[in-house]
Amino acid sequence: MHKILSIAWKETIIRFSSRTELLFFLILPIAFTFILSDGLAGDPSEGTQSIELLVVNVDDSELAQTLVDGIDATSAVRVALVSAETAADQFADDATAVLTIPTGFGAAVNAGEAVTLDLQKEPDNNDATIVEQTVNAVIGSLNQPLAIAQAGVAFAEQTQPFADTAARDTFFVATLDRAQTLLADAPSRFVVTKPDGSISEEASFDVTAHQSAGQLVTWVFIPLLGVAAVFAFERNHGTLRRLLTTPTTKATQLLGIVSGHVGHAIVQMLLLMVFGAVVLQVDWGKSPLGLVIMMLSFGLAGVALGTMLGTLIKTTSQASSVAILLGMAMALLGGCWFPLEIFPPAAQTVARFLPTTWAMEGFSNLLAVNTGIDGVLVPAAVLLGFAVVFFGVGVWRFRYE
Amino acid sequence: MINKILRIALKDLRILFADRAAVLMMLAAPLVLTLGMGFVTGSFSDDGNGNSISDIPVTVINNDEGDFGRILANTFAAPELDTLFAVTTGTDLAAAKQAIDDDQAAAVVIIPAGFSDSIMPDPATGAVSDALPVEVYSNPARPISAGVVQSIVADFTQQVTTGVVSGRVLIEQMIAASLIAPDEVPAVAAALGQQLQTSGGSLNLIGQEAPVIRLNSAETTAAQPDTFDPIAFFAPAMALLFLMYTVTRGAQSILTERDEGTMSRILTTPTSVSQVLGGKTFGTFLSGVVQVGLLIVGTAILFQLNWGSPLGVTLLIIFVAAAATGWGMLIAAVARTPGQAASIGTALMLLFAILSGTFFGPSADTPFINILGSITPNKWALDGFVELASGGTVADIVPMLIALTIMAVVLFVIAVIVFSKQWRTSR
Repeated sequence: MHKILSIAWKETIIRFSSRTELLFFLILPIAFTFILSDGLAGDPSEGTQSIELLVVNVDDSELAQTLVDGIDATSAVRVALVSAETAADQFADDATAVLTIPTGFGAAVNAGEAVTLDLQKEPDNNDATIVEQTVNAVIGSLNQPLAIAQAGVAFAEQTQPFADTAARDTFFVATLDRAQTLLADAPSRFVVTKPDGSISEEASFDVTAHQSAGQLVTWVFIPLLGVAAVFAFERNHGTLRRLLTTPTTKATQLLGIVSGHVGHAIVQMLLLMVFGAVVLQVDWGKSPLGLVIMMLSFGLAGVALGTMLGTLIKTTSQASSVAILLGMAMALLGGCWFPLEIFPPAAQTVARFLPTTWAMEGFSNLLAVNTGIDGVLVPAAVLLGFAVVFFGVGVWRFRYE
Repeated sequence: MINKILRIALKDLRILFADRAAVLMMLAAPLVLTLGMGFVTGSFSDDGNGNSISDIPVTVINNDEGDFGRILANTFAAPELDTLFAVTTGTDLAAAKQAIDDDQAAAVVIIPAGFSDSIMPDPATGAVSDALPVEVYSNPARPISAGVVQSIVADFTQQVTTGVVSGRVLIEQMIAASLIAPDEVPAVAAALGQQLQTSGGSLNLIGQEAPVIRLNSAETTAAQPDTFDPIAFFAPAMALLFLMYTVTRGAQSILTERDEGTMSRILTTPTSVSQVLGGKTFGTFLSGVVQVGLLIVGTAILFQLNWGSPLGVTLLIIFVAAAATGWGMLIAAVARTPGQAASIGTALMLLFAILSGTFFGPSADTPFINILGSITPNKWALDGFVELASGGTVADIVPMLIALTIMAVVLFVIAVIVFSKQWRTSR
C-alpha cells in the first residue's frame, strides 16, 4: 500500500511540476464551462442549443418589443435582431427562419386593425416548424385580449347595434381591459410533471447543467487518456525496466500509476463541481453517494482506456496526440457538447459504445433527472465494465520495454 | 540569404510531416472531428435538411370523452407534424410512464376525464367548473423534445383559455352595456359555448375570420439555391483549430534548437540569426499552408464540398497561415521552454476555437465573445471560408484578408521585439 501511495504521489509531483498544468487542470475547463453555459450572457435560459430566429424589427412600438421579448424568453427559440439585408443574406446561407415586424405594426394593432407578420422559413425543416409553433404561441398570447375585444364588439353588434362610434369604442376598451385582467388571472390548463414528482410550467433544457457535466467529462477524460503517455515515457526511458531491480511488482506499479491519476481526476471533478455549484448554481448536491459512484467508475474507465492505449502507442508525443484526438471525438459523440437527443438515430446508437456517453448519462441523471443512486447504477456498471475490459487488455499487453 | 531561409524552412517541413504523431494531429484529427460533427448534426442523413429533432416519441392518453380532448389528441397526428412526432395513443398510463423511465418516449400527454366539461359552461347556469389541466409527463433526459410537446399543448390550452375568458367577458360587458338582460345569460352562454366547441377552442369565437395579429408562414428557398452544408463550416473550423497545433510545433522547434544547442552550432556557420529565425518562421508558415491546403482539398473530395472561388480559398489559406504563424512566433518569444510553448499553444488553440465558435457554430456566441473572437485568426478565416462556400467572391473576403494581414504584421513585430530583447540579454 505504501508503495502504491508513493508511486501515486510521484505521479502527482511529475504532473504538477509545471505551473502550466493548472491551465488544463482547472483554468481552461472553468473558462469553457463558463462560456458555453452562457455565463457571459448572464441569462442561462439563452441556451446555445435553442433555435435561432432572425427578426427584422422596423417598428419601434412597445408591442413590437413585447413580441420580440416574448419569443426570446422561450426555451426553444432565441432571437437575433438583424437588418433586412442581413436577414436575407443569412437566410440564403443557413438561417432557419426570418420574422419581419413591419413599420406601423403597433399602431395598427392598437387601432384594432388586423396585421399580418411574415415568417420566412425553410421547407421540410422541423426546426422551422418549432420556430413557427413558438412564434404562434407568443402571438397568441398578444392576440388573446385584442381578439376578445374585437369579437365582443362584433357579437354585441349582432345582438344590438351600438348607438354610435363612441359607444362602440367605449365597449371595445372596456372589453379589452376586462379581458386582459381575466387572462392574467386565468388558471393554467396544462402542467408539466417529471418522474421525480416535480411540477412546473415548462419542460426546459438546462444548458448550464448540461455544460457543467459535459465540460467536466471532456476535461477529465482527456488527461485520463493521457496516462498512455506516462507508460510510453517510462517504457522508452527504461524506468519501468529499472523497477525490476527493486521488490516492486507489475501490479503495484500499475496500481500506483492508476490510483495517482484517478486521484487527480477525482480532485479535478470535485473542483469543477464546486465551480458549477457556486458560480453557475448547478445543483450537484442532490445525491452525494451517486456522485461518488459516478466519479469512481468514470475515473476508472478513463484511466483503464489510457492504460490500454499506453500499451499500443510507442512514443509520448503519439500518446498525447491520440489522447486529445480520441478524447475530443468521444466527448463530441458522447453528448458532452450537444445533448444526445438531437443526434440522428445512428449517431445515438454508436454513442452507446463510448464511456463518455455513459458518464454523461450518469451525471445528467443526477442533475436533471434527479433519480438519486438508482439513476447511476446502470451507467456506473457499464463504466466499470469498460474499465475491466480496458484494464484486461492493458495488463495483458503490458511490457516493461 | 533567401536560399538558406528556404533550405531551413523545407527541412522543418520535412521533419514535421515525417512525424506520425504530428500528422495524426494535423490531418487525421481535424478530419475525424469534422466527420463527427457531420455525424451528430445529421449532415450525412438521407434527407440532408439538417433537422436536429424529428420523430419525437410521444404518447397521448385521452381520458376525456368530449370534443376538446379529441381535438388535442388529433393535433399531434396532424399531417404537418408528421415528421416531428411519432405518436402513440393509449390508455395504459403506467406503461406510458414506464416508457419515460426507460427513455423510450419524450413525453406523455394525459388529457383528464372531464376536460371538455371543465371548459364548457353549464347550459343551465352559464357557470364554468374549475379548470382541469392537461398533464405533460416529461422525460428530463430529453428536455428539448419534451419542450416541443409542451409548446403544442400550451398553444392549444391557450386558445381554450381565450375562448373561456372571451365568453365570460362578453356576457359581463353586454350586461354592463345593457345589451342583454341578466335572465338572458344562460341562453347567450350556451350559444357562446356551442360556438367555442364548434371552433375547437380557437379564437374564431363568433365568426371573426382571423385574429388581430396573424402569422403568414412561407416556406421559401427563393434566395437559397443550395442549402448551406454545416460541414462547410465545421471542416474549415476543425482545420483552423489544428492549424494552431502546427504553429505551436514551429514555436517548440525554435526553442528546442536553442535548448539543445543546435541553434548555436548553426550560428558558427556563415548563417545569421535572422536567417535561422526567418527560415524557421517560413517553415512554420509553409507547414500551415500545406496542412490547411491538404485538409481543404481532402474535405472537398471526401465530403463533396464546393469551396467556391479557388483564388479566394488560396488567398485565405495563405493569409490565415501567416496570421497563425504570427501567433506561433509570439509563443516562441514568450515561452521559456518547449514544454511551456506546447502548453501555451494548446491552451490558445482551444481558447481560439471556443472564441470563434468552432464547436457550436457562429450563432452560439455572445457579443462579448464576438469581440474576443476577433483576435483569433480562426474567426476571420472561418467567416471567409463560409462566405466563399456560400458563393461569395474574392472581393467579399477582402475585409477578412485585411484583418488577417494586420494580425500577422502586429504579431510578427511584437515577436521580433521580444526576440531581440532576449538575444541582447543572452549575449
